Amino acid sequence: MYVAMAAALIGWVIVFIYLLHIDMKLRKKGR
Amino acid sequence: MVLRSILGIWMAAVTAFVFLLPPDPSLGHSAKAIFFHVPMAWISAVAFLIALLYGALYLKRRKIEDDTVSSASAGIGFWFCLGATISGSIWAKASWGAYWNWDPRETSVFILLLIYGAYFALRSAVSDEALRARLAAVYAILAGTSMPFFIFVIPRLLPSLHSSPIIARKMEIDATSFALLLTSLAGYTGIYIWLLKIRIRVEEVMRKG
Repeated sequence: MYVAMAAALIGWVIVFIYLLHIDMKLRKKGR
Repeated sequence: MVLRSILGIWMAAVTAFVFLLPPDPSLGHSAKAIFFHVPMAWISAVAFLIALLYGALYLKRRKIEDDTVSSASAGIGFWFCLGATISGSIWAKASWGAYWNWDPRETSVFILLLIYGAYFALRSAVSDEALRARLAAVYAILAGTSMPFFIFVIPRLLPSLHSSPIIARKMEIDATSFALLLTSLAGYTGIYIWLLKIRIRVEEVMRKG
């Protein structure tokens, strides 16, 4: 169960950082 | 930035709490799919309704920004609907013994996915921006109007394994689980709003350069 929890948390962190990255790129473009 | 950070921590906390909850006496750990499955299904319904609303607004005001919101919301709704279908399928394997049974609920959601898949096929088939927006707006209204029947009406009219008492019973048993479900729903709503804003901005960059 802890392995599944760690996998889910790592998955969410990857998605979150990816979204944050796109957000920052758009901000740099002035959007 | 603060709101985004809160959302990140919020969803990480929801994920951790879901896994730390004790397993359900009858369904085991598979019952925990409810904390991802139900919010995704609800958010997809909301996203399709927003697509309908902005489709209607486009037909009224003829502002291309309304079409952008409509298509962005429909796109997010499609992915959330797919997520709800996959999480539901995993839950079905654990509780019903098979990933897919062509249960009325599964069949109706499959048709709904096809309807919105056709929406994107329609959009990609028309190159003229104004015509594409007009056709897509009409289609979004038709699809959005049929959506409540596929999600809420048809599965309740026909005998289904996906019965409401399963969900209602779980909520009655455990107040903590119900609170966690609402917390998860709030988090998914935040993700939807964030994704919608990003997609609108991306579409604007692609359109205006």
